[in-house]
Amino acid sequence: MITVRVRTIGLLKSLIRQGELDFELPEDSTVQDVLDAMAQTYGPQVAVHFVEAEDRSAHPPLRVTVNGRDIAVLGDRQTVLSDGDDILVLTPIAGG
Amino acid sequence: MYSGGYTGKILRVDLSNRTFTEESLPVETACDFIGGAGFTVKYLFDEVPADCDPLGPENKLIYAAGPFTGTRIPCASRMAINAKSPLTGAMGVGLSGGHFPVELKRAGYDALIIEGVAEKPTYLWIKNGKVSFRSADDLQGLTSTDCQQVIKDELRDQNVRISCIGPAGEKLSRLACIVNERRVVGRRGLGAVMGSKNLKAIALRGDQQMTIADEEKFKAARKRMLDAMKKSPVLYSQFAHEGTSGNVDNCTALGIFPTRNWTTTGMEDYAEKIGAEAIATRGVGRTACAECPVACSQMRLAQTPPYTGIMTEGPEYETLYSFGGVTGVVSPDAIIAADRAADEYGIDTMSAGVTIAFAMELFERGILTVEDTGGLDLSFGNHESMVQMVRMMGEREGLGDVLADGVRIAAQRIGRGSEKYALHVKGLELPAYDVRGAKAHGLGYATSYTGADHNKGYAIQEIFGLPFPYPVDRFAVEGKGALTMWNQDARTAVGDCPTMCIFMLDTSVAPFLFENTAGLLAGATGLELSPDDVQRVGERVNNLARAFNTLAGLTRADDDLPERLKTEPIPAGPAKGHCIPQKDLDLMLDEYYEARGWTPDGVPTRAKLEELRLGYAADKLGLA
Repeated sequence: MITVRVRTIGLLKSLIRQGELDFELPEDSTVQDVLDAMAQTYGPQVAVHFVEAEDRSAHPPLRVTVNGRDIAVLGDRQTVLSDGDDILVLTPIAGG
Repeated sequence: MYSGGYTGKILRVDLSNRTFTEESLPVETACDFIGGAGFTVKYLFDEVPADCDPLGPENKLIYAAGPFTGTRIPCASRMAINAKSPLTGAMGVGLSGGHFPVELKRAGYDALIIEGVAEKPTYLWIKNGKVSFRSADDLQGLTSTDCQQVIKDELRDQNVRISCIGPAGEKLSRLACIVNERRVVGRRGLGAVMGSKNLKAIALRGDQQMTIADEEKFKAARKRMLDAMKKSPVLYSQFAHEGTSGNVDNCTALGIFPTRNWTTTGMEDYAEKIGAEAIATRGVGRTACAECPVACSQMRLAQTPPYTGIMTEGPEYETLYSFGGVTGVVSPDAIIAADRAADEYGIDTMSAGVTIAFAMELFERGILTVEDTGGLDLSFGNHESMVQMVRMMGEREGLGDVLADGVRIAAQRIGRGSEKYALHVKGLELPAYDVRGAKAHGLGYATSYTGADHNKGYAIQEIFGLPFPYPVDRFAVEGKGALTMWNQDARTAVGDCPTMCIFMLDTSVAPFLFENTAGLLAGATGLELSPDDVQRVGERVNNLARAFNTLAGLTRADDDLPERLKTEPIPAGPAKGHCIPQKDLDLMLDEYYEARGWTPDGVPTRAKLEELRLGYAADKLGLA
């Protein structure tokens, strides 16, 4: 088994009511497995934000990073996780 | 030929001789530069000697709205102001929203070029083609809100729109900004240029309506943009209600929210104390720029002593950094008070905060003492001292006078090894992203023609995770040269020139950004530019600005980052261990210049300039 740390901010944090969560998962689990576990734990209010956009050319509705790197440059949701990974999950932020 | 969108007229005002003339907007200028920042860069390059004293009579102050401004295109009440910057010695382009930009068009002008120096304090009153030079004797020393109100009362018209300076501009602070309503062209000391011309304010009123060249094309393009805004996963659902404050949480989560003069990034959680949720507790409403359906500007009211009852529009993300994180202050009410004080004195919140953070580090290191500070305890996190220093800088009082021209000049005045704690690029204080953990954003700081500017080449891929034009690894060094060029040209072409709020790129139109601008431009003006042509406008503006800076004496050596970012890794958090050593910066610069078609020294080539129809710039540079 591996343990990963999931961090959320903004909307997801307010839905989950926690900014940091630890998940214990089988070896070779992926980002998708973490999102599924979160959806199962926190229900449809959270799960709705994890639905992949039909139009991949539009503004993405979810950002996920693993150890600071966007999963788009890793293996998207099939990115395989390791023990101790730091995963950031957030709905989009804009403006600065 | 354009047949809509533009007024077709430029107003030239000579303050020395109290005369004005109207000129036509050449169609070539419209095609090649679109408007806004593009126009100001073009006119400044053509008319202002690059080696002039920025606070001398040869410098000019140039305002320009864009062809989208005053049409029904959403979020287009934006304008650029440009002059040779007294802070950086380079092109000084800054932008602002509000209502003044639309009023400039209604008053009949695409651009306003102000020359010379008024003999006595003056303000301009421009109404439907008539220009009056009015005495500003009674406006001297007034803060920005009072100045605007007194002018409205004097003109007996409460709907006049005004662009003005506060006391900091009159006192030639190189951090002075230009204020319109509660919006600000903040950076690079353009308020000091206005002050140097003895010009306190410009008041506008007009009733000209913009014509639309092709209503059908216009409606279709506008509808496409409005649909994209509605479908945005962030614009109306979050951004409209939080404004930019959500970025405190975002950058904290990414480990790149800079704190305590960039010494403790990642070590403390500022999001809990001054992030979106914390600052929202001070919310008392929202407001919008003209013709904007979003209304992202948040009004906030301080609720604890000694700041109770002070209201501000903001503070925006950058100010939550400059009067918050980078000074170590965690009081939302102190940040609100400092934001309001800076706007009233007419001093840039970003540069002011970073300059105070610089002084705080010197104080903690013993380089400055209570004798230097006039008794103030300038330790990091002391919010009362922070707010007091804003006032002292605005008044040029005590240590405030030493700091009122930014960190580069302050370090020269203070000496004693203080330069290494002065965080700037080309004299412009660093914005709110610890770019040791976002390398393209850092290359943007190093190469922007305006100095360390987050908005000229914002790396939306690294900060927001947007995959346009492609996703990137924010920690990677290779590949950031071409990306930074794309970011700079895109932001210039899509935001700064047409003019349109750049938050539309971040939230809604990035997937079809050049197409969006081309479609709206064709509908509004009749100018048929392809999406590639639009992108090329961004490239042209960045090349012409670079040519000006080269003539002003700036070189590759100025495309630099502060030593701290090159030698001290981020100490903690998700970006722990990252920095930008000189070899990485050199690699990125080499890539960037190559992508730009410049020499390895960062000088535009004749071939590139001619390709962009900028042969005259090559001539001026004396290129073979």
